Amino acid sequence: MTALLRVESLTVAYGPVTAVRALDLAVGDGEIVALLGANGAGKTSTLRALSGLVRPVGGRIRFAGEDVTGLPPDALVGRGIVHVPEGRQVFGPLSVLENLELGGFTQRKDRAFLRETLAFVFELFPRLKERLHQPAGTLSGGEQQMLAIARGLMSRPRLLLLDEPSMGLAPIVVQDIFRTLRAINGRGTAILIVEQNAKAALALAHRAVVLELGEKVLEGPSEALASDPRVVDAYLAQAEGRR
Amino acid sequence: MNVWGEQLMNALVIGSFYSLIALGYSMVYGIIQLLNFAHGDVYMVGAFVGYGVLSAMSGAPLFVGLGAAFLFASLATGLLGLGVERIAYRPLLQSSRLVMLITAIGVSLVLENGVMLALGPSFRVMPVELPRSGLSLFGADVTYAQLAIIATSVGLMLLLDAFVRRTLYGKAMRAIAVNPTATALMGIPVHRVIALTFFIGSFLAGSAGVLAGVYYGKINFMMGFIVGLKAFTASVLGGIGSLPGAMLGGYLLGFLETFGAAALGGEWKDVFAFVILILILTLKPTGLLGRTGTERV
Repeated sequence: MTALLRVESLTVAYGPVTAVRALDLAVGDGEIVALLGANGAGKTSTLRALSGLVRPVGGRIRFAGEDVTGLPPDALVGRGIVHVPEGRQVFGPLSVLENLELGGFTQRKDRAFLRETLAFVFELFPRLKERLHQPAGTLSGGEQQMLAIARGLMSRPRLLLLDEPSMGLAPIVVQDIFRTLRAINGRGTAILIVEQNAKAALALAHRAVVLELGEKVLEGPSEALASDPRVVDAYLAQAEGRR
Repeated sequence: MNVWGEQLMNALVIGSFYSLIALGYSMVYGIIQLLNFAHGDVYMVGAFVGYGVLSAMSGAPLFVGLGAAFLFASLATGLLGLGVERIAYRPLLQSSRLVMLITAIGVSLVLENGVMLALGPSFRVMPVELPRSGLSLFGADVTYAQLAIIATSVGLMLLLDAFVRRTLYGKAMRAIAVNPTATALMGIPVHRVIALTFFIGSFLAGSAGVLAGVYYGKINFMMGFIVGLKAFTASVLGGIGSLPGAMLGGYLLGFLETFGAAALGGEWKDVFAFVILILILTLKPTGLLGRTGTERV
């Protein structure tokens, strides 16, 4: 598998605080990679650097063979790196359709693409079609997460960065969302997913990377990590115990 | 003669000016939470550009001159707004609101004193005279000039409303007002949309400036000061950040001021505006149409 995204020695810092230290990470074409770790491990900071929200203080980010280190978000979205942020962040007062239209901003000249993607999005999330003209803020948490993913799809991602898509959602809704992520991946979109729900993430991903205090401590195929005692103890046993 | 009818027309004319300026205050506040106190001076610059165009075209037919002055002044002030945003505000977007506010006062002083140094402190008389002709509506004498000012202003506001609600860039403006980070993640060039907001707000203020300059006949480098404060009052009255609120607030202030002055005497005119500002800030700081947590632009 050729690497779509190749991150070398990425370092992200906020003033004196280093959030990510010398991280190497690759995502292949069409691959799903899960980024696991406790709160403060540097998962969200990694995504923020990849989407251009923060400028890395060190390291290189190559995407589709091109050095994209330090490019602003709009340039990265134009190249196909699309970040669906933590907490959904839909535009509450704007309608569902307006949210989707804004997601398609970089593709605004390609009307055929927008039409097809809108049809695909309605197939994935029929609920959004029913609520097309409702303010996004009136949707339920699960529907807002669907809208956030759908809005991301409108930007024509080659790599979708997902931050905590299961946060605050009922288990049955989470299953639904993860099913659609598989369908999205089935169309060739690579996914880098950050998740607290390690069990669901490992079931979805091909490979996983575990971060601790900003550094990579483990990496491997999902099945291997799902039975690795260190992962089981730190992330899975705990999740089992909570249920 | 129907005195109240004529006062009503005066209120609509002055309310149009306040509304056009208040829109710029509200748009800019909605998108970057800046109280742009230089906005009244943009209105003043619009009047001076209009004066320049009318002076240069003094031989042209009245309507050609007025049309050219209107277009040129609005576009020039729109560009002025772009320049001010780029030079003064964009470098400060990440700093505190207080820093931006002080910068806005600085920009205001630069514009006022710049025009004074370049063109002198005395009043200038606009080199056109509007025809006094008109018609009688329910016994009130209404001039065509008044009707044209009101129609132009309302037309600009309808255009703005359509722009913000129907176009992708208008939707992007509303999105930035809600969540600039998420807007950037859509690949939307946030700085370009902010710049566009300044262009439109300044365009509207400049158009108000040239209309008011021609209507009252006299202009001066400080003419934007009080009007700017009143337009600010109007946008607070309507709910700062809300565009329908800015329009409503502008006309409401025009009415209160005109009829208040008619009842108590002209010297009370300015008192009204600022008593309203104090009352609104005390009793209902979100204004008539503003609600916390809802859409701003």
